[in-house]
Parts: sequence; structure tokens; C-alpha cells
Amino acid sequence: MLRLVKNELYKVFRLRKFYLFMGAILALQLVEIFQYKFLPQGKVVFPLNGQSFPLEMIGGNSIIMVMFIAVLVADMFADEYRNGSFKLVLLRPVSRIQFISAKAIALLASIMAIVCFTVITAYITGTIVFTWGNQLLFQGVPIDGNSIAITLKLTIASILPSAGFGMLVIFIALITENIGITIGSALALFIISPLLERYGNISNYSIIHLMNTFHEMFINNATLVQIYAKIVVIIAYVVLFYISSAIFMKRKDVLL
Amino acid sequence: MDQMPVVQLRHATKRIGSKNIVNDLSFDIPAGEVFGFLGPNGAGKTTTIRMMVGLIKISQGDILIKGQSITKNFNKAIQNVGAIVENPDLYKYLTGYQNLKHYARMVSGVTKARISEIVEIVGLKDRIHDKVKTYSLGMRQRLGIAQALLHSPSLLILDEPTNGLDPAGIHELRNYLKRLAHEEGVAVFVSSHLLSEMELMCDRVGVLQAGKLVSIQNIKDFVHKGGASRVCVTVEPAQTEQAKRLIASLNKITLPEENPGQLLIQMNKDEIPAVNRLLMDAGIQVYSIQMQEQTLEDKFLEITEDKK
Repeated sequence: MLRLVKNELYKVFRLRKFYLFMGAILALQLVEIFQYKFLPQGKVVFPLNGQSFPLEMIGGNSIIMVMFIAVLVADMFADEYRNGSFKLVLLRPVSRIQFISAKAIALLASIMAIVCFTVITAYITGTIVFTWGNQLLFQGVPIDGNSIAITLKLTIASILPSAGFGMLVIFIALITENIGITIGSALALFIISPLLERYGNISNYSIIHLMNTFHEMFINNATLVQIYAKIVVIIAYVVLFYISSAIFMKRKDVLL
Repeated sequence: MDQMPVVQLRHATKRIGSKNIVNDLSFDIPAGEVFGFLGPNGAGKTTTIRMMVGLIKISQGDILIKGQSITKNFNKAIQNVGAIVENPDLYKYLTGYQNLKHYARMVSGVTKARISEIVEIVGLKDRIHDKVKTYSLGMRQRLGIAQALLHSPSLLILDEPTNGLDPAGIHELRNYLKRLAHEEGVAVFVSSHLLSEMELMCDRVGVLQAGKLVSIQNIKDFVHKGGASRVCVTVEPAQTEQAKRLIASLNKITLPEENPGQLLIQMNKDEIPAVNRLLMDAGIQVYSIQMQEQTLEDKFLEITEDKK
């Protein structure tokens, strides 16, 4: 199994797209910095410093995460299926469940790598431009406690819903076997998500909504019950779409 | 145990909806044999291969590889198989070597030395560290064969293996596959459209028509079944009808002639002197007698037309 995961990671880190997304994240940070530095004083919404910049970026790059996951999954599943390299792997003594699991683990590792990259580069660029600052701020509000520990906790929290979204996109890629539909569906979910907020509680079950808000619960005085309720929803996404993908894959006739 | 066939198809059937794409296939392939799988487009060759390697489910029956069922014991069965199904679809953004390492990681016991050995065998030593996207179709085919051979399989399944290879490459591959089968005891299962190639490469052929196995024979028996060949006798055009009547009196089948004065007769080689004598005694001027060996292509067309 480890060898399979290694294979998947080996491929991911040789994809040019992976590094393009890193470039996009850096570009987004520079745009944020540019806005803060060059907006007239009265127009700045809230103050910012180096130790707070990673938190802002985690919340602000959800579109990049959605696109990153969609493109990576489309490449790992739909494109490999379409170009036939998928079937060569299935001609090895590897069960289809192991195959799906290795890809899902590699996706999770890639998400973690991208999130870590976001946080580390945000620390560097934020500190260079704004200086480290006296206290951790979240949307201008001071947060008590060790700023690095809090940032780390929120970083980890932001990965969980991304994993749920990743499993959903894997399922879409497997059933459609189409790169365009996979990426398009992920984007559609991202676009629809804000509209769901008009319908009250439905948005609580939207994985995109959770990607945007789950980590904030850890600094917004949410109760443990509220946090656990969201964790259950996220885990439900992961488990439901992992099992659905595994069943679908096990029964699938590979025709391409 | 050593006598056990490497592949055993037992009433293998693939049904999609109410239609049988492959119907009740049963045959064995022993170790050390190059088995050719022939059939017109859409006959079910690739579907059969896909069933043999577990890419698609078998609707009925079973396929055993070294005694292990591909459906019930996939991992044990497939570890004896190396295959290319349709095209050698490798990762184009990786180098040839990285591709081989990728596949080597999925099976145990493939060393760096084995990878180098295989690279040498398929003749890719000079380009193995280049990205696959820069390879020609022939080079991709060679790399595909290399990945199939990495783990020294007991059964090698190749779907159109000579696609994209130049004549020298085809010659090399043919000799390598024959050596692999005859010297190392690997069972080689080849499907191809190049009938002349199959004739030179295979020990036995099976013909598939509309999902059914219509013939399975030793290649020599297949081409020269019954020893009967086509003999072209050229006589004086004005005497064609008289010659036809004489030949008919010998209970020989005369095929429709292509040119005036030309008679195509189905008969054995050792019957030619008697026919010649008969024609000469009747005063017919015989200009030439020529044996036309039936090729695999003739035989293939004959069988597939018959079974339509």
C-alpha cells in the first residue's frame, strides 16, 4: 500500500499543474498585500500583521483549493482513465480498493502540502511586508494565546473539509470519467454554495460552506457540540463518498 | 503440476444486456507456446483479453491463470501476467525509466538490474531517461512490452504488439517472443491483425467470430489443412471447357477462373502429375501448372466467411 501511495505522490509532484497552483497561491498573497499596502488608510477593512496573514490566506484561498482539488482529481482519475494509464495499473496485483485508497491518501497529502505551502509563504511574505506584529488578529479582532499554535490548529482544521470535498470530487470523476465534467462540477458546487445560505440550515451541510467556515469555529467561540456536529458532517462526506467510490470501482468494467 | 496449462478458459462468456459479446470460450494455453488470437474487428478479441486480465467481469464461466481464478483470486492470478491491452498507455510526463520504476514498485522482486536488463532487451537503452511524450509509437510499444515483462510473468498477453514497429523492430520482437516462449517457457498470447506476422510468430491460432471460437489449430495444420492447395493450370483458352470436364471427371473442385485459359483446382500436390497426364493424353496444351499455397489470410477469410 505504501508503495502505491509513493507512486501516486511521485506522479503528483511531477505534474506541472501542482507548481502552477503554488504560483497561484503566491500571486493571491501578493494581490492581498498589494491591496493592503496601496488602499487609502480609510478603506482598509481591518489591520493585519505577519503572524495573522496565514489565517487570512487560509480563509481567502478556498477558490484555489477547490480548483486545486478538482484539477488534481481530474488528472488522477478522469485523465488517467481516459488516456488508458489507469488500466495498466489494474493489471498488477493490486486490488481496486487499494488503488482508490492510495489515490485518496495521495490527494490528502497533496492538500496538506498545498495548505502548508500557503501558511509558510504567508508567514514569510506577511512578515516581510507587515512585520510580525504584537498579537494574532483574525479579521482585525485580537486573539489570545500562542499565535503559531492557533494558526497550526486552524490549518489542520481547514484540511478536514478539503478531504471531504476531495472524496466527493473523486466520486464524480469516477462516475463521469471526464475531466471537464469533474472540474465543472466542482466549480458549480463552489458557485452554488453561497446561494444555499439563503435557505437556512441547508448550507450547514454544504462541503464548500464547511471549507470556508469550519476552521473559523475554533476561534469564534463555537461550542464543542457545534464543532462535533460539523465534524460528523465532514466525516459523513469522506466515508459516504469513499465507500461509494470503492463500490463503484469494484464493479466497474474498465473499457478504455 | 508442471503440465498444468498456464491459461485455462472455461466457458468464459461476457454478456452485455441480452447480447453475448463473447460466448462460451474454452481453450487452454500451455507453457512455452505462442498462441495467436485472430478475428475480424468486433469479434470480441479485446473483450476476451480484458476478461483474462480482470479488467471486465466474466458474466459466466471462469478463467484460470496458473490454476488461479482471475475473478476469485485476482492478486494470485494476475501476478503471473504481463500485458498490453490495446495501446501501451504510459505516463507521458514521466521518463521511460520512471514509468518502469512506477510499475516495478507494484510487484515485489523487481530489482534495478532487472529493469536495466529489460531496457536492454527492448532496445531502449539510449532513450530510457527521456520523457515518454518524446517517444515514437514504436518506442512506446517497446516500453509497453518492457513494463509487461518486468516481473518475469508466466503469461504474456499482447494486443497488437507490432503496432508502430518498423520491420526491423517487428523482426526483433518476433524472435524475442519466440525465444521467450520456446526457451523460457512463457506462454505468449498475441492478438493481431497482421496475419502474415501471426503465421511467422505463432505455434497455434484460435479464430474468433462474433464472440465464438470457430477454430483452434496448430498453425501448420491451420494453413495447410488436409494438404489441399490451390493449383493454377494454364491451358490453351479454346480448350478450357474440355479441360474443365476432364478435371471434373476426377471429382476435383474447379474454382471460378480469373483469366481465360486459367483453371483453379483444389487438390493435393501429389495429384498434379496425374492431372497433367490426363490433360496431355486428351491433347490439351498445358502451358503451366503452378501451386498456390494457401496463406493464413486465405484460411482466415475462408473460415470467417463460412461461419457468417
